[in-house]
Amino acid sequence: MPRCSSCCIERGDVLVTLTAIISYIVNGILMGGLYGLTSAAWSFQCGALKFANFAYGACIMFTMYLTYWPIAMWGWPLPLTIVFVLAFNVVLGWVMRKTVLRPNNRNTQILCTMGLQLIIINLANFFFTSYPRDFGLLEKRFYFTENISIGLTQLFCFVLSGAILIGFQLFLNKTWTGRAIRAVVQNRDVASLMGVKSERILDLAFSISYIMIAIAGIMLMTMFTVDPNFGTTWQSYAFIICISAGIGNLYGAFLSGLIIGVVSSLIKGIVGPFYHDPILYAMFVIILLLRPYGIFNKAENVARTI
Amino acid sequence: MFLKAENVTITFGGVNANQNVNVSFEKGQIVGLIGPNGAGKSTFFKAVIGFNRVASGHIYFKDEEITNQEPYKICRKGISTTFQKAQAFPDMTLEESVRVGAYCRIKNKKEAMAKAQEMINFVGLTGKEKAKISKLNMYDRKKAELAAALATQPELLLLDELFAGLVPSEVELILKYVKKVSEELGITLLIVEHVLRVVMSLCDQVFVLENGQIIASGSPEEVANNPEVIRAYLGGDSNVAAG
Amino acid sequence: MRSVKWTKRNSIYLAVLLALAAFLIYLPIGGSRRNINIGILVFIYIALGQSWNLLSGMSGLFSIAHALFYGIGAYGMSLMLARAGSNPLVGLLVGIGANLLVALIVGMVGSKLSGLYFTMALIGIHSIFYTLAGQLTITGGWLGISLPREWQLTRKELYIIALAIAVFMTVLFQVIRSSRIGTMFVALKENPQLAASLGSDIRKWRILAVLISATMASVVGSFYAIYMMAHNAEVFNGTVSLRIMMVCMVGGVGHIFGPWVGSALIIMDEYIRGAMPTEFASLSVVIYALVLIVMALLRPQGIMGSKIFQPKEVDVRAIENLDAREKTE
Repeated sequence: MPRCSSCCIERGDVLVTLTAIISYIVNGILMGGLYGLTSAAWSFQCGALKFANFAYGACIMFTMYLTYWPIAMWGWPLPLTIVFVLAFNVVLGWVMRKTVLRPNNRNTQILCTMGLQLIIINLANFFFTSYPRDFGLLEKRFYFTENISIGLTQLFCFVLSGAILIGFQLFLNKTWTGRAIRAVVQNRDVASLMGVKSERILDLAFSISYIMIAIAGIMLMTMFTVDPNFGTTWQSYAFIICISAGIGNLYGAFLSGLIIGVVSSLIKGIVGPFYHDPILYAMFVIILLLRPYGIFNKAENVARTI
Repeated sequence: MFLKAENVTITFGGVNANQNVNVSFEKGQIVGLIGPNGAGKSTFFKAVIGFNRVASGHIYFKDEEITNQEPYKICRKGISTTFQKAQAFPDMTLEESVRVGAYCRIKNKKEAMAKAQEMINFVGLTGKEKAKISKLNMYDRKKAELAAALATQPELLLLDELFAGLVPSEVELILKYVKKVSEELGITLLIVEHVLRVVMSLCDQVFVLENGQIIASGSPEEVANNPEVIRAYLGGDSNVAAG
Repeated sequence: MRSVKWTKRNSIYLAVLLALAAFLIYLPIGGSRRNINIGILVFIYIALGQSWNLLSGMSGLFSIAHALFYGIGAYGMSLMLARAGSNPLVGLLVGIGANLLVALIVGMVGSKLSGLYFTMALIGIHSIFYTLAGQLTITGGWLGISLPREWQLTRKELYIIALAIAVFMTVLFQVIRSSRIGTMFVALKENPQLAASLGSDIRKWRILAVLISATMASVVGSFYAIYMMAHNAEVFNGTVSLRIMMVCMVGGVGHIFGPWVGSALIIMDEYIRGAMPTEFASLSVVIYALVLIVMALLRPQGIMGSKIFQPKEVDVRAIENLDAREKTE
C-alpha cells in the first residue's frame, strides 16, 4: 500500500486506512452481487423446490470450463459458446432431476449429489487437468482516487446479476409457468387438482434454475481463474449466504450476498486471507445455532423441528 | 382438578385454531373430547402433550403447570398418549417398541423388558413379541402403541382417534381394552374422537369442540340433547340421539 | 436360558466365521507387507464404519463429513507426540477430549435441527478444521507433521492393534444396540414424535449419539497417526468421509456386519489403484461415487439388508388364529 507523503504521517495513515476500508467495501459489494446470484439459484433449488443439490459448486466449475474450453482451445465465437453452455446446463439439470434427485428422501438426495460432485470434480481433473486456467483479460478499471477503483467487468456483472434476479422474480410472479411453479411449491396435491402437472413443472423449474447457474458460471469465468476445486468454495459461500438469509428467500439471498461480500472482503483486508475461511465458517455455525431460520425470516415461518 | 386447561388459545400463522378452551375433569373418569373434523381437537390434544405452542392460557396437571413444557417432561409427569396414525417404530420388534415406553421410568433393561411383556400381555398381543411392527396390521399397531403408552405408567392417557381406520368388529374389541385400562389400571382417559356412538357409550363426561371453541360440556345425555351440538353435527342425525 | 435351534443357516455362518478368523490369523504370518497394509486399512475403515453406523444408521443423524472426527483424533495424537513430547495414551485422550468438544457443538446443532441444517453445520465445522489444519504452523501446514521414531511399531503389532480396534468397535456397536441407549437411538430415528411423547429426551440422546460416535472415530484417527508416522491435513479430506459412507452403504446401513461386508470395496479399491497408472488415479474416486449413487438409488438397504441375511420372521399369520378365536368370543 503506498504511503502518504512524509509531512503528516499520522493523518496520512488514517487516510490510507480509511480509503483502504472504503475500497474493501466497494469491492465487497461488487463481489457480493455475484455471491447473491450464485446463491439465489441454490436457494431456489433447495428452499423452494426442496432439492438438496450438493453438486452445485461442481456444476458452476464445470460451466466455467465449458465456457473457457471452446473459446480458448477451439476458437468458437462467444455467442455460440453461450448458447452451448445454456443448452448443456438445461440438459444437465433435467438429467439430474431424473436421476439423482428423483427420490424425495432428503438424505438420499444429499448423498447422491455429493457423489455426483466428486464425479464431476474428478472428471474435470482428468480431462481438463488441475492446471488453473483463465482468459487473461486485463480489465479496465475506473479510478475514483488513487486507492479506490472499480473494475468495469465487475460493475457490469453486478448490474447483470441484479437484473437477472429481478427478472427471475418477475418470471415467477407474472407468467403462467412461474405461477404454476409457485403453486406446485406451495402445495403439490392441490396444484395437481387444478390441472398443473406437478412433476413436469418441477422438472422445468429445476432446469430453469440451471440457467442461472450457467449465467453465473460464464460471468465468473470472465473474472476468475478456474481449477477443478473452484466450485467447492463457492458452494460453501452459497450455504452461508442462504442460511443467513433464510433458505428459499431470493431477495434475502441477494442482500445477504452483499453483506457476506463486504464482510469477507474486510476480513481479507484487515485480518488477512489466512483466517478468512475459518472466520466465515465460524460465523456460519454461530448463525446456525442462534438463528437457523435466517436473519431475514421470522421464527414463526419455520415449523418446530424435532 | 386432575387436568385443567384455562383459556387456552393456540395460533397458527395468525389464525386461532383454539380459542379460550376451558377443559377440566377429575381423576378416574373417562372423558370424551368430540367435534367435527377440523374443529381443533387434535390441536388441543397436541398442546396438552407439548407439541403445539400455547399462545395464551394455562394447562395444569394435578395443580402443576405444564404449559409449553418439553414433551418428555410432560410424559414423566404422568401423561401419555397414542397417535391417530399408529406407526409406532416400523423397524423395531413389538417387544422393543413397547420397551421404549417402559424406559421412561425404568432404567434397568431386565425390569423394562418385564414391564413391556406385562403390557403386551395386557393388550393381548402375546406371541407376537418378535414380529416387526411394519409386518403388523393396523389393529395390532394400535394395540402396540397403546401398550407402549401404558408402559410409561401414566396417570392420564390421551387417545387420539383410537378407533379411526378400524373395522367395526375391531372397534368393539379395542373398546374392551379401553374399558380394561380404566377399570383395572385406574388410569384416567381423555378420548379424542369423532365417532360419536363410541364416545357416548363409554364416557362419564364429554366436551364438544367446534371451530376451536367449546360449545357444550356435561354428561353424554346432556350433550346429546344440546341443540348447539345437534346443529354442529348437521341437524342432529340419529348418531347423537342413539348415544 | 433360551434354547437356540441349530439350523443350516447357523452352520453356514459358523463356517464363514471360522474361515475368516483363519485367514485373519494367517495374514500377518504369511502375508506380504502390502497385504498386511491393506488389512490394516480395511480394519481402520471397518472401525470408522461402525462409528458412522452408530450415528447415521442407528440414530438417524446423517453425517456427511465424518472425517472431521477422524482427523481431529489423528491430530490430537500427532500434535501431542511430535510437539509436546508426551506418550500415546495422552495423545489418545487429548484427541478424544478435543473430539468431545467439537461433538458437543455438532450435537447441539443436531439436537435443535435435523436433516439439511445438520448436514450444513457439519460441513461448516469440517471446513474450519480442514482449512486451519492446512494453514497453521503448529500442524506443519500442507507438509504435515511427522511423529518421533521412538513410537514406531512393527507391522505385525499394528495389524493386531487394528484388528483389535475393529473387533472392539463392532462389539461396542452391538452392546450399545442391545442396551437402553440403542433402543432410544433407534426410536428417535424411526419416529421422533412418538419417542418424545413416550418420555425420551430427544436433545440428550442426539448429543449422546454424536459424542459416542466421535469418540469411536477419534480412537481410529489416533491409531492412524501412529500407523502412518506422518500425516497432513488430508486426513480431513472428503474422500475419507466418502469411503466411510461407502463401506456402510454397500454393506447395509444400521446393520452390525454392514461395514465388514462393505470393506470388500476398500480391498478392491487398493488393488485397482495398484494396477492403474497414476494419471488414472482420480478415476477411482469416480467409480466410488458411481457405486455410491447406484447403491443409494437402487438398494438403499445394502447387501446385509437383503432377504437372505434377515433373521427369520415370526410368522404373524400363524398367530392370527389366536385373534380369530378372540374375535368370535
